[in-house]
Amino acid sequence: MNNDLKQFKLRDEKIAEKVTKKIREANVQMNVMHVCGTHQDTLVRYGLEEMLKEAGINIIQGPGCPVCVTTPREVEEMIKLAENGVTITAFGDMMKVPGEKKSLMHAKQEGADVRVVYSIDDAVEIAIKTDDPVVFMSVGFETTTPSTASAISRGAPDNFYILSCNRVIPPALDAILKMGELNLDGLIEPGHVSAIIGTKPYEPLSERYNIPQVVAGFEPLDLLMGVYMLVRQVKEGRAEVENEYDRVVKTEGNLKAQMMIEDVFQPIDTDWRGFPVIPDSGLKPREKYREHDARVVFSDMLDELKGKKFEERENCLCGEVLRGITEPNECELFGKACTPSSPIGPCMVSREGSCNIAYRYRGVG
Amino acid sequence: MCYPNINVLEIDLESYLTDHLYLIEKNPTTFKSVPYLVTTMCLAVPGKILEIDGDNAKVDFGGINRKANISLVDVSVGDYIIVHAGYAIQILSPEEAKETMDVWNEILEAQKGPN
Ligand code: SF4
Ligand code: SF4
Repeated sequence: MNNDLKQFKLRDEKIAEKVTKKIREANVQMNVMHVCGTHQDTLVRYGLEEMLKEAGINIIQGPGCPVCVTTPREVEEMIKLAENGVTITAFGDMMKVPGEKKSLMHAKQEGADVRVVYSIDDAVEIAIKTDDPVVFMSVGFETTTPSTASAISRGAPDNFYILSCNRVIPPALDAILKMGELNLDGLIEPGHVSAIIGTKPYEPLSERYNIPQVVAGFEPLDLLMGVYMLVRQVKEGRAEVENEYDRVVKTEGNLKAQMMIEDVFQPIDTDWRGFPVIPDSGLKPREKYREHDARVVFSDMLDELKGKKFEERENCLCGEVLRGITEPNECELFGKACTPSSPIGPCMVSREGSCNIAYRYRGVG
Repeated sequence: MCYPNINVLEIDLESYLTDHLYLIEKNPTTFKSVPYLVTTMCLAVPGKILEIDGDNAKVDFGGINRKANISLVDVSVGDYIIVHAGYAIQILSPEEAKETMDVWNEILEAQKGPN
């Protein structure tokens, strides 16, 4: 037993036991998908995955991490800008994500001006201090997108641009359910995406696919509870959206943040790593903010990449891992050629990537 | 309620932080010099607002004070917020956590009887 598990047991063993007992007593077999790297981390770290498996609940991780689903094209766009002398800012998680041949980290080592920021406000600060162009790689789901929207709508300096890699969750869930590769009986929805969008956007999915959904938080008991609430729905023949994380997630979400996203961005069709193009699943800056849109302003530099096809790295199964149909250790590169210190696919890069989590907590093999 | 992380504001921040903030694990000195709480891509961390200055606030994350942008929320000093990538994304309000409370009661009640 690892340390964390012991800590969890010491802290909440009794209650966790009670919840698991209720789940076991319900005696249902379910495939439950979540789409959140932080959920996966909690599930694996505290050994909940196995506890749940014994209780009949099979947990599957979907495309849960904005870093992992960023496409090679988007990374290559950033590298192209960097090589043309533009100052690049990005979250630390993005640095090692492979483009077609290299990552932003490699570009930095080769002398490009690539800087890690912790918040878009850092990137704006950098732009304020110089006259040179500064581009922020705006990666993120609804949790992160409002910070970009806020920085742009509050008025960013003229030499500050964003390259939007922002994506939204509900259309991706719809795509997964429509593809039907997985036999899903319930969905655990991401707590912090939901803090922004609320619970309503999930309702059409329950109606369309007759699937129970629960928005859940990130503590071990949040997840057990979330699963219990799904089990209860199945038992009672319901397929609704319920909210386990109501200490943070309000039904209507964060309206102020939604308004800012709406003001700055418009939906576009976008591909996700591992997925074909998903309608309306991406965001691009609206016309009125085009002077801050790196794809518009630097279109001459990015032109070469237009229409280019980007191949996945040979034998990397990230696409399948992201769609939840393959386990990390089924990839022949896992733990061998591909490790967190020298990742081949994005799922090994990010701390929220399935392969990275599997490597850290489950070990190789 | 019995489980402090679920229902009360006194969140067990210390374990939360060591659990989730990888920079602390990896490099405590870097961590001290960073103005924000550094989280993995989508993690958000609860904290309490100490001071407000325009769009920015000084926030207490369990004894560590860091700044956070509050332009996405309407808050005042003393409020608890959830912070992600340097921005407060929502206010933490346990009073509204009724739905969960009911289910918790259901589970805990059920166990009160003879074992
Ligand atoms: S182990 Fe590496 S190469 Fe294999 S799927 Fe995961 S990230 Fe891709
Ligand atoms: S909440 Fe965070 S970890 Fe979870 S899906 Fe959203 S971005 Fe990913």
